[in-house]
Amino acid sequence: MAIVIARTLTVYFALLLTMRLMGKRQLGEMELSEFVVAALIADLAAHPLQDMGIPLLNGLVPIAVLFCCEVLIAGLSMRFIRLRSFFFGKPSLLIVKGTINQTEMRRNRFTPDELLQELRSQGVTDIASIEYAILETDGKLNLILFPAERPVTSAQLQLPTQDGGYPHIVVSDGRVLKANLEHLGLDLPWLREELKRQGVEKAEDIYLMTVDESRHSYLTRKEASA
Amino acid sequence: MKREIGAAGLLLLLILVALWSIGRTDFLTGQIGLNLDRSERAARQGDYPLAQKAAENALSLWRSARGFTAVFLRHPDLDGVADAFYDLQERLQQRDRSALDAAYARLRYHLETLDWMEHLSPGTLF
Repeated sequence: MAIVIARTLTVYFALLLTMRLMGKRQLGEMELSEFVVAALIADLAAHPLQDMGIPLLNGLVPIAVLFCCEVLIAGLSMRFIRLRSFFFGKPSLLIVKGTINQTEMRRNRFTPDELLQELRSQGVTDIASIEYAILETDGKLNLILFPAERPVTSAQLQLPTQDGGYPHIVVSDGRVLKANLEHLGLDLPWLREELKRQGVEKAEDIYLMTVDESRHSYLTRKEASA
Repeated sequence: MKREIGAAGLLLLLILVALWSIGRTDFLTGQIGLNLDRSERAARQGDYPLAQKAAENALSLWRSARGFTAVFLRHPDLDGVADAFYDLQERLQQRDRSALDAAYARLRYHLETLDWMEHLSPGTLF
């Protein structure tokens, strides 16, 4: 029993460390090789936990080897473009100037139905409005519309805009995050004043409060506990 | 760059540990094999006390390497070797001449398989 717990904890922390060192990318943003490594690692870790007859090392060594390969390939791919296209492939232009590139569609095993489904999911129904549709190496389809079809920006309309900057969390579940307050050049008296202005007695009553760089704040009060 | 150097270093370290593990297994099975040879020769000459002593030496070598074997080798393979050891000891105590040859052969086969499985070859790779 103690062995099972110790082995599970060892594998858990080894996996946690491996995934942490490999980077922060989300599953949907993984390149093919990264996805393969993640799936393999999860499977490899499970075996020594299920079967006590397998040395733990037989699970940890493959994880370490995969981690090394992943880090080395990612690092080398950043330096050598040819290596990057070899391991991760190149983006494919599925639509060019409003015309479907059938060769690229076949090469990527992309059917017209799948293409239309992707376009619909991005709110586009007219292929003729697309200047480029790029199938990225992580499998995402990015669209660039013809200039006349692109949404109008405030810059084009010459409208004044207000940029509040990045909103920082200053109160999370009743706890004041002093480091974030200090980062914004604010302090506790300012927070107390702001809470008073918004009719809140104390920070403990707040579920979430954010403040952006123009000192514009947003807050949500805690729900009354049942 | 530091991360890549670290990963390359770790990979190199793992390869070195794997090579050391192969060498350690070679040495262990070789030493046990020498004791088994001595034991078998003595048993054939009818010197059962000497045969038993050499077999016990082989077993104590095996037991003393438990820290290494349990970590680096597959446990079902280790069980096979342990079973073969105790079978040989039983035959030696019974002085069962007719079954001794098979008992030595069985133990040798398990040890050779254990050693062979650690080496890189098409057979072990695939």
